[in-house]
Amino acid sequence: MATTLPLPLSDPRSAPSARSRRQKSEPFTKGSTIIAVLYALACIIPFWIIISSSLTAESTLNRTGFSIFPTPFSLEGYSMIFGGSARVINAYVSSVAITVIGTALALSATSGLAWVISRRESHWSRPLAIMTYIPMLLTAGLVPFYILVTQVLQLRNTWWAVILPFVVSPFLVFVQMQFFREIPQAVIDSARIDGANELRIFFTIVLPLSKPILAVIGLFYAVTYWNEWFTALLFISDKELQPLQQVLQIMIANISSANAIQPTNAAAAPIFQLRMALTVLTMGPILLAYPFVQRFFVKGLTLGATKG
Amino acid sequence: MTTAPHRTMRQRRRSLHRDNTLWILAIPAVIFFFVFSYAPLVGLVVAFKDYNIRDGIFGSPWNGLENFRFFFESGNAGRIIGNTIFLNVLFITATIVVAILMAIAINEIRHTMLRKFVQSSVFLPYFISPIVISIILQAFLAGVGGQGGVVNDMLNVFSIPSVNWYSEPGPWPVILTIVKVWQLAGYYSVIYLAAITAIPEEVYEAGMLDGASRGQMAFRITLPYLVPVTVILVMLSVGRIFFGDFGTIYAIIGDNGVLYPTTDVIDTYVFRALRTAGDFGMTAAIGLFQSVVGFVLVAGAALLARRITRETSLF
Amino acid sequence: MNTHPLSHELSRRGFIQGTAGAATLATLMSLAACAPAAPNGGGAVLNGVLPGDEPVGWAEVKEALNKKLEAELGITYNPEFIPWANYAQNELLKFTSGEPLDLALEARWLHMDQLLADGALADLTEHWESGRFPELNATIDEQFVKYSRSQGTVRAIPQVNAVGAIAGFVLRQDLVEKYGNGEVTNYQELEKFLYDVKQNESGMIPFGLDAGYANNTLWASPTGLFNEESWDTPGPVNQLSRNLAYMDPSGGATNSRPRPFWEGPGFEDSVKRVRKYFQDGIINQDAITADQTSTWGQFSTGLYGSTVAVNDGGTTQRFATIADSVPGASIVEVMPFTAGLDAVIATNFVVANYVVAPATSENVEQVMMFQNWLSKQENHDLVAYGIEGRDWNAVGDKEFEAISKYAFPTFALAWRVPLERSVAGMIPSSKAWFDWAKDVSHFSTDPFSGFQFDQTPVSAELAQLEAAYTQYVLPLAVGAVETTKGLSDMKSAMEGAGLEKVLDELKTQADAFLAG
Repeated sequence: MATTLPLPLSDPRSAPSARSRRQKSEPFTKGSTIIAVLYALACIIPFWIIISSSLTAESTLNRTGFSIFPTPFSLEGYSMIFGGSARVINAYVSSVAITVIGTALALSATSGLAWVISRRESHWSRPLAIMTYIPMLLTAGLVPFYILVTQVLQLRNTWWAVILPFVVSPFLVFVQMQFFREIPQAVIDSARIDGANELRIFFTIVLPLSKPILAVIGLFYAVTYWNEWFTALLFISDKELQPLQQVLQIMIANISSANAIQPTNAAAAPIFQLRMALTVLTMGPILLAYPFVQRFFVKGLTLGATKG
Repeated sequence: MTTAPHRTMRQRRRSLHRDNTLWILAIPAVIFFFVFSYAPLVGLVVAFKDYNIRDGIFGSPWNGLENFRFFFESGNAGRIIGNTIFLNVLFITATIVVAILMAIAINEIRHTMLRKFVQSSVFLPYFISPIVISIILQAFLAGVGGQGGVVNDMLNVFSIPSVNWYSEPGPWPVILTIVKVWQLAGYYSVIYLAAITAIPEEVYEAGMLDGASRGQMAFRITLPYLVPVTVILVMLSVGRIFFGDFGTIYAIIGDNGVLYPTTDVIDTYVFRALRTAGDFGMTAAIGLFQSVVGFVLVAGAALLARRITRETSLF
Repeated sequence: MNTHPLSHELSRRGFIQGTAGAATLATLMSLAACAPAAPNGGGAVLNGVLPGDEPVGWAEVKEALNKKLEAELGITYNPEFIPWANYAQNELLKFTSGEPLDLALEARWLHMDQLLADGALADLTEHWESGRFPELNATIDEQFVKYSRSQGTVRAIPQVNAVGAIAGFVLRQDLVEKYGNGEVTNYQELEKFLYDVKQNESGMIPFGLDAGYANNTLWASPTGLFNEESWDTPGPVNQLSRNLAYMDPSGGATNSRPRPFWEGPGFEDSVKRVRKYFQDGIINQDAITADQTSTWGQFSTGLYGSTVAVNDGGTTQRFATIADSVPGASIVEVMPFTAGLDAVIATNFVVANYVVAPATSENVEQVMMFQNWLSKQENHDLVAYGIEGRDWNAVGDKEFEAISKYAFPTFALAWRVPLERSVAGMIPSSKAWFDWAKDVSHFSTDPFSGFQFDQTPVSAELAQLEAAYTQYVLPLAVGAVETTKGLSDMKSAMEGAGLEKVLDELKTQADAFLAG
């Protein structure tokens, strides 16, 4: 994907050869575009169904299971979720806090580790790689984890109980490591020759060069933190601190059960509609973050850095 | 990506000297792993104990391999393990292939807005929780009451009789694979797109000068650059091949026993068997079994990869 | 998760007479040495867990509650609400990790057997028998306590609002009148109703079944929804989880005869019948993946002509919205007894809900004081219905009307048969059946009342049986597989999973129980 080719990520006017090529759009390009667009539609359509269903009245929805057009239109699901208290607003705040802090910590820890592992000449590389890989296969299970967080670390009812357990994902460490390996050794060596120490190399050279992969890893962590509810459900009972996914899961689970168990509830809650509205609400903010991150997928990794 | 061809004594000493500060960067992660991954492993002894709530993990009496009995004596162990491996292989293969194809295809799109639209769209399915996927799948395959569904309606248009999908175990490995691809291929394609971004422009320029078409460049130039990432992804999956995708499979199949012959995996079986008993010892025992097998497989795969190419090995 | 934890147990609520066996812990510490007239809790804070979400308006109720508790007993109650989907797991984790916990909802369908076997529950025998808690003793029938004793000790306080509850039917009364003679009193009339609906009401499925109540379609324990024989002659109480063992009464009073469940009365006939309903479109074909609330909701919007109802007094509220969605619709509650309101069934007085205290709790005396305090009408009403005037109004002594959306899981803390108020305006059939359920004369004592099976010798087999049950039995219970092959596959799977061994162990323990 050279910058001289008329690809959207770079300025298409950069070279004369680019212009002439643009006129002659190859069948491969056309075919690929069509396939890509079709696939994108296949991804979008269920999403559209979810939004549409979230706006459809329960009376129709629970007969058909889903709806393609929101008729009869109904905002009852959303009003049930937002109405009544500031709980959902608080939940958004909690989720944002957890996601931002978590992603920042995770990116730092992961990048540092990935960089060390990627430097094969270091004798730390292999032991660290093994240390990182083992937890992908071996876990002690729920009970020791629970005891660790509640008894040993005393993190009940804090956001840290949700943030800390996911700070390093072995999978993402290896993905990032692979990208770090692509950085030419010559760049590093030329910096060393200039007298920089390892830490300076990392912060002033490696990180700026790695913006694409940092953006990707950061996005993946952000998604993980944003969607995390199970840990929150285990450890956070204080209503003020509950993140969004947990609050919405609670609402769904309890409304379903409340209808069954406690006959004093009058009207049946719109379960189908609520589930759909829940999905829409939880997806929203993260989707907004994604196009923003795309900006970082730019060329220019090693322009002019290599000497000798 | 080559090591510096020739180093002077001074350079070698200097780079060795620099090594001493490099490890500082890894400290936060090491602390994390120690606290959250390694320290709790002492709890694994419960796999060999008759777990008693009052006695706790360390006070409970040992019971040898008793906790493994329920799984291996069931007569189903072979089929369940087979399903687990088979489905995982299907999932990872299909997902990676589609992800690569999509990344290459997306890379070809010229129109900025269209490209951004496509890139955002393919990532969307990743956010949808398995429960919602299950609901939508039911709408597609069964409708309400189990007798309809979009797919059946379409079949009827061609005079093909409706199929009661939720009562036929046969097609489900394919159905589940389609679901997984839909869910994850976009996620992986982002990784591949970032990899394509890293390909040096000079390589493409050379290709164009040689008169290569875009299609040829995509498959002769781009594809080989994606091999290292693919190897990493495959290797990371190999160790988990004995771990079934519980979240998605359980959300879709649930307690529908008719479909178990082709979709029951280790994790769902164990979950069902132990959900009323709540025996942590048995759960831990099977988890340990899955881990041990995973290790053996990864060790084997790492040795194999080492033979093929030194550059891309994990360790 | 598809199956709600309670859904298959609501069937067992029928026999849940629950023994209020809250053994009084004999912690004769100085705290308990106060004069019986004015017990003092010593400022203890009771940490509890409750299922579900905080009720609307809970903050004020809790404040009023604790103010009274503090003044009268010197205790404070600090409950944590855990969502239903996670209650089982989180509650067990608290026990396991030794967190400070003083009282919790527990049940056979949660972890009670395991907790009892591990000795993790506080011994409440001395407390219960001491006479220090008169209101508690008065509002919980001794029989419930007696039959929940674990090796003679009381380890849990039963929470009951009726002697038993059965899974039956709620039908569209307007359609019963349209196609029949206005009422359904036996199985033939039910079947006629179902087929009439199928034939005449296009787009409507006669019966809506969900995954949870699939466990109630076949077994005569005491009645199965589609088990015709059991409508005439209710069966004995089955043993083992998932009712795997049919206790054949032909063994006599001293000799138990546990047989595989498929030998129970009417079982195989019912399998064939349900299969026919599946193929004829009488029941929905996605029962195995359907959840209870959605199914009930779909009945209320007119998709189903009938569905499952439980005679715990809740039918009216659960299906109240049907009049709005379907003009002219009315409902009736029908229980699977040919004998109608004179039916008598066997029960082993097993309760669906208990309050337990962990053995590690230091406040067991205070827990008992709290339970006793809740056994007084005005305290009970405060917790169960909320603040009078704001959340509810009394209608006479025995009824109430709800004003706000306050809904407390009273079954987890304070159900007392003499104190419970029923919602004003219940439909007549529901009220009749609820009253039936509260009357002890309708229940005969099963010979195995009080028997508790110790699972430890066969826990591996039971795990396999549990897995095999979901795979082979449930599809038969909803009619999704062909019967001859389905039955034979099921039998070989069950036998392969070790059913013989489990039944032998059951016989050994049951005979010892009968002898002792």
